[in-house]
Amino acid sequence: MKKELKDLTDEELIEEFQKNNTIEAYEILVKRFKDPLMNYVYRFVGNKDVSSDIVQDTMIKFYLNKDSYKSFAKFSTWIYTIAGNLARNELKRRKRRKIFSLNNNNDDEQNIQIEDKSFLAPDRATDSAISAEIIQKALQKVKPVYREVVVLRDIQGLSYEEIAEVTGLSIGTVKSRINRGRKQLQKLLKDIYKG
Amino acid sequence: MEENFYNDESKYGELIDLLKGLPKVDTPDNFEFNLMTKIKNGNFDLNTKETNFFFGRYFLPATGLVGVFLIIFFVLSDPATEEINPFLQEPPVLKELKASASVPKIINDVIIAQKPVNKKGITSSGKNESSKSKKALRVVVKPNDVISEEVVDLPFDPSKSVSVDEKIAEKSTVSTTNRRSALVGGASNGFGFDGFYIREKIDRKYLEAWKAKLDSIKRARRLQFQIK
Repeated sequence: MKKELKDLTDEELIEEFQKNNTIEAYEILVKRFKDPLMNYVYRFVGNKDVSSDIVQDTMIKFYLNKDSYKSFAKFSTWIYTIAGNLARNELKRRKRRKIFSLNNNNDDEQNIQIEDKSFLAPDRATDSAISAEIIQKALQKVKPVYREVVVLRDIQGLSYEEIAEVTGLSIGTVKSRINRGRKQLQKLLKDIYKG
Repeated sequence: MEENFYNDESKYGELIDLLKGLPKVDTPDNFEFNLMTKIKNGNFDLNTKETNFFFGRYFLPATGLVGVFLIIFFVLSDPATEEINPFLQEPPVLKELKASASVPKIINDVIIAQKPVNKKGITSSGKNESSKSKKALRVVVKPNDVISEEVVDLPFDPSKSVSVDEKIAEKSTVSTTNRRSALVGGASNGFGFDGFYIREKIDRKYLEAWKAKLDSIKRARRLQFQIK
């Protein structure tokens, strides 16, 4: 009995798309990965519109370069790698813009006062939406090299091996970076985090 | 037992829980529709332009330097000091000819004669030439097809010049003995200095040899006539 496309694994779907150019297989993969990728890119980049564009570009790249995927790798790590590269490019471009810009007043990152006690009043901090916003802003304060691995590990739930594959780093470097990223984040969130 | 230095999951347990508890951010509702529309239309322009790191990192300083040099070259170079290419310039004579297109056509602007001319500019063959100055003439065809002669004002003084024809016919009345001094000293005629004359010492033997040759030719001719 032949399996339906939606019952196939990611790797089987990409194989189907590669061999028969089945657009349905592509659409199923897009459905499966669009939201996880959006979450990852948003936590990494910090802007919803830009993140949506990056995820769309990721899907277009996947469509155009489907043959560059090799079956020995996991599809999820492959697509996370594409999204991660695009997100890193975006951050670099933003950094360059920031350097060349004479007026940085519009940069919302500059307006965050994470350690402002009044801003982090306990009654406000307990509110989950505000708490999420504060965590997101704190994440943006963490160095991008640490932020990326922390997001992949603690928000996306990828294994160290998968993160190493996505980032192209050794497992030791990944663990070290995750540790440093968590340390930075803990320092930034010390008012709402009692650890 | 291998010690794991980075296994701090327990140490950061609460932080990890906070991060895991963050609300999931989803793509917009029209995400798939937009994506599939783009793919069906073949519009594969990426929203986020990829940066050319190789160029940016390694060639940007060099490009900037070249740009600065170009600006310096174009801004600071003084156009007044630029040399004028003579090949691109229209010759002044041609300019004059174009400007005087309405002027009667000159069929022969070569000086055809140095005839004595009276004060009105009309030629005369009178005998009292000493009272009239010698002027150059040229033939001119006017718009009404009348052919006439006109006096040409030469940039040099004919009185200080030598008529080659007259010189050959030994009719020259102009003394050329002081010609060089007149040229060098006189600035009124507009001539440029044409250098010094080199006085060559004539070899007497050389002259005698030539004289002997000429005498020999004369003798030969005389003999030829006698034989005829």
